[in-house]
Amino acid sequence: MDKAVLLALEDRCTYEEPPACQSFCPLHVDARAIAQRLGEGKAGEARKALDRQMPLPQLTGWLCEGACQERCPRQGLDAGVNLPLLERFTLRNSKTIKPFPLPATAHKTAAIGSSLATLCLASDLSRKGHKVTIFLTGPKGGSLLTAGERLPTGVLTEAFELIDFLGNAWEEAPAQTPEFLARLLTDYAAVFLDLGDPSVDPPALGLQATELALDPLTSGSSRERIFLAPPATVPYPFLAAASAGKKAAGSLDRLFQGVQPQVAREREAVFETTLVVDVSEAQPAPPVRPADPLSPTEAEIKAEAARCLNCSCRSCLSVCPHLRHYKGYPKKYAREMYNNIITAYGIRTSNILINSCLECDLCKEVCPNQADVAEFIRKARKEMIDTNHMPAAAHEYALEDLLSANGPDCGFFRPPPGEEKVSRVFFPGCQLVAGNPTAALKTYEFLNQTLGEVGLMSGCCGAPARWSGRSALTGSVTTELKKTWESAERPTFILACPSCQLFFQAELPEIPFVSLWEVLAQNPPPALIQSLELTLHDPCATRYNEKVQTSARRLLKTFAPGFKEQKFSGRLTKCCGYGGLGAQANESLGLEFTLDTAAAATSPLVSYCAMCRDRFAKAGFASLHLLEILFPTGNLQELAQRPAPNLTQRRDNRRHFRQLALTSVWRETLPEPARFPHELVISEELWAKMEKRRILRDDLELVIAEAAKNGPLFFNQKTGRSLAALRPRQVTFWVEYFQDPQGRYLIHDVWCHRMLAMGSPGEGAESPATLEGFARTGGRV
Amino acid sequence: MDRKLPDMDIEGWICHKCQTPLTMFQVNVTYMGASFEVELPGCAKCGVTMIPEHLAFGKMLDVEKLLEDK
Repeated sequence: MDKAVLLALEDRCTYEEPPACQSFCPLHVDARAIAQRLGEGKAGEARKALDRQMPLPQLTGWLCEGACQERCPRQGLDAGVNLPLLERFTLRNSKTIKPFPLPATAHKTAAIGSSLATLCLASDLSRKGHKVTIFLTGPKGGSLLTAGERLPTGVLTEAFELIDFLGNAWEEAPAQTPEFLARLLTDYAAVFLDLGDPSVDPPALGLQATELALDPLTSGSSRERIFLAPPATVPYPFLAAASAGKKAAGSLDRLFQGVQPQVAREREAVFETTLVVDVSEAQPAPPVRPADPLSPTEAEIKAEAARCLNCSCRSCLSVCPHLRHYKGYPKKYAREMYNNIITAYGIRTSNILINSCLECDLCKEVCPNQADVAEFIRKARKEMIDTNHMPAAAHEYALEDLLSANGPDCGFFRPPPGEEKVSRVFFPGCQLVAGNPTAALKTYEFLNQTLGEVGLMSGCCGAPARWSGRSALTGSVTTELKKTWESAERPTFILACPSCQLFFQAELPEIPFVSLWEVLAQNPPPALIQSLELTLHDPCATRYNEKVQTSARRLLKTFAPGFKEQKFSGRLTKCCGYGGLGAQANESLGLEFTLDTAAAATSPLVSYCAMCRDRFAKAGFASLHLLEILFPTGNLQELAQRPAPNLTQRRDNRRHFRQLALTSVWRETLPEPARFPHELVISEELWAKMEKRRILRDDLELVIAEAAKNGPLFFNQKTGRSLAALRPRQVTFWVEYFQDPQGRYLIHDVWCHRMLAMGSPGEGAESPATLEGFARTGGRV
Repeated sequence: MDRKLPDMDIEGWICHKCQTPLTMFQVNVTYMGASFEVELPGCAKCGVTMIPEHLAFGKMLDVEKLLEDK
């Protein structure tokens, strides 16, 4: 995978961007972390967060003017979070950890003036061993001496003591003259001019105003080796002074190491964050006014900390169970998935992360930067296939189902009965036919009667192959489909399934198609008004197809006027769990999706995608397909309650649809479908187990047929049961059964595995990592 | 994967073809390019081996999943 693909996604996800309070703080203090930790009652942890960014925090923390409050999103609601209050509480309730003084390096700096900027510079620089000599041009502490009530007694003295402890020196400055400055520039590696100290006199030192332009990134001036702190007249003077001292220390440390001071410092000045925060659901909370402002209680501090909105971008995480499940966010996932793909050897722990995505695009829709996770997933899956690293188990069943739907006993195309001309072809899609073959056929008959010259084609468009990243299989399915289309003189397809529609758009651009829902909205069947209360669910594949969504509403309005909307609908609709074959690769997460999507509905759901209908039903929700309302095949209450057909019934339904259509509509005489010559008795419990393991009755029949022909492999003398096994593809099926006197096979148990054991069925067969070989053989062996 | 499968219940099972009781022996098992030995019940005469359900849906499935993520 091209690294640019990774970078493009990473760039769009702003989860790791700092909140506005941090980006706008001249020191970039993590105010969010401080508020969160204090909210948890952890002043010590809050102190760690303060110490990470603030120079000389035991002094600066008392002086901070709270520039962040201006940009706090709370400002628009009531007032920004009072960070200075939180900082001071933190300082009062935490210990200062004394640093370990390092031996002096050869790099010495002179500072003129002794206000906050100089103290921050000396503190930061001497922690790295670069000692500072502070030349006093007036009283020790400069403007700090007038900070008055901001500083509790002893704080300034303790700061001076720390400066001493770190090995810095104080000297009385001689008269401030150009010669004095020249001497310092000769004796010291650099000079720091603290203009925040009112006793510092630049003109006396021979410095022109033009030479005192402060570089906001480095604290440099236009004179080489002279660094500056701004005068106390700037906004937020203490924060500006601390920031200048901190940045100058950073510049000097770089210089001493032979690195350009300007390198990689873009974000050291105040900057605009790209983090997008949704505060639409934030509740107003007036700022806390402590009874004693100098000594707020812990409860007051917790209340103020609780006002912090903990700004972060969670737009996608709030709507997608998949993104939440792996405890990350798109930027982190993109890196994990990229590493997974470029791994030549070793564990690919992100395979399941890649294969669990529904590719439904909801995260892109809610992302403020439209980060396209689904597109990344598509590329990742394709790459896994191309490099032979896609585990076959992930999508094997869905692909087998595709091949079966297009196989000789399910797939077919017919021009309209008694006609040769085909203007349109109704393509119900493999899942509608599997879910409700009768409704699909009624729809076809209505279309042909209403529009005329409508043919019928049953099969799978190939979407599962595309979802699973298999270009070769996708190509072979579309080639067959195109051949049929061309032989019928290029009719327009009428597509019932929104996923087919997306697939046609992407893979079959030459075939004209129209949505069934638009056709029916323009040519509605006679309305039978239903009094049933319903909740409309938009299939995720219609997210960007307003026309189809509008058509579905028009139809439903006529047939079931009282219907409600899902909380997430239209462009924000959620996937039922089937999309992207997510539930195929990760069944438990798939169910979480289904529950997440269906749970908010207060009445039976109605969808215009067969997979949504059946997945909702499988998870225990009453649900209908829109066609079942338009062309009822029974009592709607009962239809809504009917369970989703199991995997075996789905296959049977496709066969039944072909049989039913060809015999009843085309009046063809078909050979009686081959019936399995033995009767299998399968308990409800066993059916459930088979469903979970994706074992079909067809699989059992293959094993039993083999056993009936050549005998079972094992026999149990105690129970009288036989055990037979067969490996028809990359799975071995075992069936334990008892044959009763009537010749019926009473199935006791069924299981399967993919591993190949010496001496067990299939020995000697290769065990490829991909399904392509399987696909080429056309399905079952 | 454990080589020994102590809970293996092979009581009563015989090879249908050879009509001989099953015994335990070392069998080579392969999946996705990996191969290892496990002890499985089988017929000592014709070599046919049995993979019981608790193995197929237990340890074998765990190892299959592990290998699929390699």
